[in-house]
Amino acid sequence: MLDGHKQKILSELIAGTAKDELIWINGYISAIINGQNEPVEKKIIGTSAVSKKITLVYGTETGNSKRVATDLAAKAKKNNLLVKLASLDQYRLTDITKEENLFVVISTQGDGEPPVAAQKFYDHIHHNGFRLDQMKFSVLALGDTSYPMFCKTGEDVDAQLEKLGGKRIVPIRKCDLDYEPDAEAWFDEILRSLNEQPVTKPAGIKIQPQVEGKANKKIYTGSIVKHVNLHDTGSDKETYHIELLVDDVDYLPGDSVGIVPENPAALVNKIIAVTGIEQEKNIVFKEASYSVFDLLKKKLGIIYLHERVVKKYASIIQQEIPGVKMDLLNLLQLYPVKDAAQFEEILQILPAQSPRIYTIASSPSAHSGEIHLTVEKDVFEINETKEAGVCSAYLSGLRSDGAIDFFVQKNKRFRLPASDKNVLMIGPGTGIAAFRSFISERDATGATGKNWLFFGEDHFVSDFLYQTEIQDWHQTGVLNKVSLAFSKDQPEEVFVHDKMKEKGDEIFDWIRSGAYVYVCGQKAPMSVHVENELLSILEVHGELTKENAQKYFEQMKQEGRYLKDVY
Amino acid sequence: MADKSAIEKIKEASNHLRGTIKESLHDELTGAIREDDQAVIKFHGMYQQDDRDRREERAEKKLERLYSFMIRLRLPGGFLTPEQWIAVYDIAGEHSTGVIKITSRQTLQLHGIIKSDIKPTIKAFSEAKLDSIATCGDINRNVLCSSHPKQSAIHEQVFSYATRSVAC
Repeated sequence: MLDGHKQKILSELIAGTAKDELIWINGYISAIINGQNEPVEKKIIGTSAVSKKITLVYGTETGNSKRVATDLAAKAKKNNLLVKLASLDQYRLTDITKEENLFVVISTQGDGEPPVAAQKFYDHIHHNGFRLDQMKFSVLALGDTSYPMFCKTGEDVDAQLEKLGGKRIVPIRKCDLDYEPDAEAWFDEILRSLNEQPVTKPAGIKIQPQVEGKANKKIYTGSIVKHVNLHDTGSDKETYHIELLVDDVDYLPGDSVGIVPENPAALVNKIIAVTGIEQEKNIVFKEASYSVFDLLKKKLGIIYLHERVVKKYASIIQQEIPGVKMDLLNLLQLYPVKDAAQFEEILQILPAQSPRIYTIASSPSAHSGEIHLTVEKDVFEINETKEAGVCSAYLSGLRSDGAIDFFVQKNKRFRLPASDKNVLMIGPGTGIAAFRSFISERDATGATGKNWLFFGEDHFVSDFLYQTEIQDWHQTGVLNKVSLAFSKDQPEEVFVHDKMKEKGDEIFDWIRSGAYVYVCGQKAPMSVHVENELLSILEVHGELTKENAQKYFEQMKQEGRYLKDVY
Repeated sequence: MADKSAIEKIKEASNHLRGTIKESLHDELTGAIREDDQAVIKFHGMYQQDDRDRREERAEKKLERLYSFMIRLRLPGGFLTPEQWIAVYDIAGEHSTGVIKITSRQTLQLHGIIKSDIKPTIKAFSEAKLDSIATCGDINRNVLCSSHPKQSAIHEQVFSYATRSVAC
């Protein structure tokens, strides 16, 4: 490949070079090939001789804040910092006045509330008079721009820590679902700031928080071409397979859609009748104008209102109302508004309708131009009457000629591996949605890796979602193994984790030879049982101690070989 | 000698009527059994059936056909004890449609048994000292004949019992 002269120079150079020098040369050359001028040595930030102490606390609901905080803590340690990492429900609140460097990673619930685990901390800093004059702090707020109260809790905590005298060394950073790059950048800023000795930034400087784009979610309209209840007559359940025709929709297997449900027209009409408001009257809500009817039907949450909203309602109509969740119609019937004008005030305090997220059940390669959903009608009892979830009732009530608006919610944490990798999928109930997408995709793209599906439901005869498709995949060979658990077909209930136990040795073989494990569906109790069973399989069949099984499991997670999409 | 019929070939290859029934029963993906086994189980007293009226609707729901099994008992002389009758009653309620059919060949049969209920059903019969061996397919059966009174003197005599029983 090289001409004689060049070859000679290179050979001479190599002959007179030590091994570590060769390694450097190797890096130097590959950097040139990759388009860099010179290889960048790994810079280590914060190499000061005296280690600083920082406290990193997190308030988590779904585990994202914990994951971020744990990663950041590891990074801080590498940078020679002493790190105290704590979940806010375990953090000793009296310690806060002693903190010198407090960094908070906190998420926001859909209705703007703190995660349950962070409630005590949130109340503590808001209601107890103490000063934090010696504290440096910063907040990383996790949220979801599709919710109206995006990162509200993070903002509250950030403002309150400043109010108590804390010095904000890095501005609050608000992250959407794709939070990793933001989290990294936020923490790098902190590391840089801590490295400047002493901290020079004066307190009280008003820092403009970054502006978050809320309009970055493209809204698609899908026309419904199929809408069928997958359960047979006689089943207690209703799960709808919905097929939407959509132009140019961009998604990958593992992604979800967000759908803002519409309220039932009959309910909206009752509300209008009770209040006497003109239904065509135009109302401005969040800088847009709607008729009263459209506003109530498409934009506002009117069912199962939060205590906070009920309180505001009470203060507008100036009556005592117990602080419990209530429907708008019930409120209006029990505590009527004075007149239509007062109801207009009420309209302004109602929350914007939040989108509900559904994992996509189709594959871009197999179902081009379509999006399929698997939606279970969520039925529950409140005060002995049966109620259905707002969005699942909306979706299950649609017909095959309607249309729905949605946006695509990317899920980078739930992607298929390389096509030659083996995949173990555990998805009972509507958890099958993600795996219908995965298997269809692997089928359509001719992926060579093996596939093993665990599915479960109540009854074989009436509740086997996508049975004929699963049979076909098994017959054609794309699905190598299927393990099924129908919990109510025998006296003692059998679930997917029981089936996993039965197949423990084989599961371990798959895992040991590099298989990727995916769990989709119900968060509790399903995903908890599955996770415990996996740990026990590692222990029993991997012949590991409990601790080492846990380590092995953590290793799998780090390698991205254990992924969850649970709700 | 002429070629054997398909069914004779299946019988011959079935390892004394075992076939692959075991594998068929363990296949969790389907409520049906393998095609050859559908011939073999007849010798164990069962037929596989499916509800034709439900085919279209279930296909739309991505569910396979509604398969179930009929099981027919062998009752020598058409006789069973009161305890056995009670056992059949309980088994029918637990594993079948709940209907006991009394056949013209002096036996009982149950319908609508789904695949996963076959084993418990046969086990329960066995505990009641009942069995279904060789009640379907090409095996010996009780002979039935017409009771038309004009066919012969004996036909007329037998038929007269029937009219007598109607009268009383």
